[in-house]
Amino acid sequence: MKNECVIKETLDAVVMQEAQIERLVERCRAAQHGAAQCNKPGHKQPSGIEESTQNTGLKDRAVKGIGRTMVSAAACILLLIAGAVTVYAVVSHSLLDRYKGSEEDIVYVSQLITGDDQTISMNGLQFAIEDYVFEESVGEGYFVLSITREDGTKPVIKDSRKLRDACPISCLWAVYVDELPYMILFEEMGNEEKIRSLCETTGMEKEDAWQSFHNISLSAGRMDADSNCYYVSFWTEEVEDDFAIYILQTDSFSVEMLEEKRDAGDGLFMTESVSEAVTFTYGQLGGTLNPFALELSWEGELPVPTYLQKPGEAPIEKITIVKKDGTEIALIEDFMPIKENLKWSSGGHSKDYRTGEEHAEDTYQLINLLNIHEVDYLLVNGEKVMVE
Amino acid sequence: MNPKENLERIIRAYSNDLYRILYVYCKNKSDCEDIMQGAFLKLYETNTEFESDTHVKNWLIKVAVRDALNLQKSRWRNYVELDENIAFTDEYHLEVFEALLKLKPKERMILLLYYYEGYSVKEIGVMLKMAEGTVKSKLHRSRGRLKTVLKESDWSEE
Repeated sequence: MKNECVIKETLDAVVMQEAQIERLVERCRAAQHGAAQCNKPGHKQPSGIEESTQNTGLKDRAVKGIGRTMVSAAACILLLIAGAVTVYAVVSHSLLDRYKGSEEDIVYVSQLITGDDQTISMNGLQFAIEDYVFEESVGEGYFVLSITREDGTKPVIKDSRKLRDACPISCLWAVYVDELPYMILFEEMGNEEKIRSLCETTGMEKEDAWQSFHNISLSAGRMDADSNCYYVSFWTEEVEDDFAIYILQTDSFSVEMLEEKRDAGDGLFMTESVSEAVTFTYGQLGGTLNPFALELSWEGELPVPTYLQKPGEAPIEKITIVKKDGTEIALIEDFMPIKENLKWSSGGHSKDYRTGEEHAEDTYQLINLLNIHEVDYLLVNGEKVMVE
Repeated sequence: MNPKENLERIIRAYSNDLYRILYVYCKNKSDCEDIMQGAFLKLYETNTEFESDTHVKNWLIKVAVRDALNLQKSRWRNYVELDENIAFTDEYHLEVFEALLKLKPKERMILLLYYYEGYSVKEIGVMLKMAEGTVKSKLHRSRGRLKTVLKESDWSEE
C-alpha cells in the first residue's frame, strides 16, 4: 500500500461544507467583537458573577468564574468520595475472598535492565540480555536473551514465540521454561536524560543518540492460580498516556494487548480481554492516565480489584499499601494535581518525562499491588480503606 | 502580515486544513468547530509576528492540535459519537477512512500530520510534546494497525 497516496486521497474528502464555513466566520466575528468589547476600559458586564470584576480582562473573569464553580464542585466531590471509598472497600473485600490461588505459585519480577545490569533473577532462573543487534539494512534491531538456571545449567526451553511487535522498540514473547509459562516484554527505553547527556557530552544529534543508546526494560512473570495461568503486565511509553495491558492465557498461548475504547459519557476506558470474563477499567486522573487508577476484576477464580479512583473524584494524595508482614509500600506520595497535560504524577514523581527507572518502579509497585492476598489494608489519604 | 486585519480570509483559507485534522482526531463536527473558533480567536488576540501565510497556518494547526488534546483529556468531557458521514465517491476510500477512524486518536492525528500535512517526525514531536522516538513508534504501529484493519475488512488495493 502506498501509504502516503491512499491516506492523502482519502482525507481529501474531509472538508467543511460552505455553510459550515460561513457559520464559523460568523461565530468568529461575533467572538472577536465580544472580545474587543470586553477588553475596552470600563466595560461593564451586564449581569452575573462577573459584575464585581468589571475592570479585569475577559480571561481573568472567566478564570474567576470557573474557579468558583470548581471550588463548589470540589466540595461536592470531597463529600461524595468518602462514601464511594467506603462502598468500594466493602466490594473489594468481598472479592478478595474469592481468590484461591496458592501464594507460592505467584511470582512476579519486573526490572529495568540497563547497560550496567543485564540480568534479572526470578524463581531460580536468570534472564539476561546478551546483546542488542541493530540491523542497518532494515533499520530495526533485536535483542538476544539468554535464560539459565542459577546453578548455571540450561533449563528446558520450549514453545518460545514472539507474540507481538508493539512497535520497533517493543516486543512481547512467551516461553515455557522448565515447563512453566513466562512472558517477557522487551522495551528499548529511550532514557531521555541519558540521551540528552550523551548529546551534550559528544555533540551527537539526538536522532543518532537515540539509535545508539539502548536502555532495556524487561518484565517477566508467571502466575498460576488453580489451573488457570494469566500474566498481566503493562507499560507506558516514555511520555504521557499510552497505556496497555497484556494478558497471556498460557494454556492456549494466546495474548491480547488491551487498548483503550472510550466509553461514552463517563470518561472511563473500558476494554475486554481474550477472556470475556475479564474486564479492565482504567480511569483518567486530572488529565492523564494513571496506572494506580486501575481496576482489575475477574469473574471466576482469578484476582482481584485494586484501588480505583474514578474520574471526577477528588485527587488521591497518598496511597500506602500495608502488607500482612507489616511492610508499607507508598504508592502515591505528594500527588500533585495535574496543572498541565503531559505531566505524570505517580510514585512520588511529577515531571514531563519519566525515566526508565521510574517506569520500572511503577510497574513493580503495581504488580505488588496485584498480589493482593499479601495486602492487609490500604491507606488512602491516611485513611484505612480495606481491612482483612 | 497582520492576522487581525485578515482574519476572515484566514478562516476561509485554512478552515479545511484545521477541520480535517480535528475531525480525524475528534470524530465530531461540533467539537471541531468549537476548537477552530477558539484557535481563530487566539490568532486574533496573539501578538505573534507572522512572517507568512504558512507561518499562520502552522501556528493555527499547533494551537488547534493542542486544544484538541486538552479537550480529550478533560475529565469533565462527555464523549459523543461520530455525527455525520463524509461523502466519499467510492467504496475504496470510504473503507480506508473507516479503517483510519478505528485507530487510536493520537495515531490518527500523527498519520494525518505526517502523510497529509507533510510535517516531519521532529515537528510532530514538538507539536504533540512527544519524543521523536515515540512519534516514530506510533507511526510504525499505526501503519501496521491500518493494514491489519484493512486486511480484516477485505479491502483490496486498486
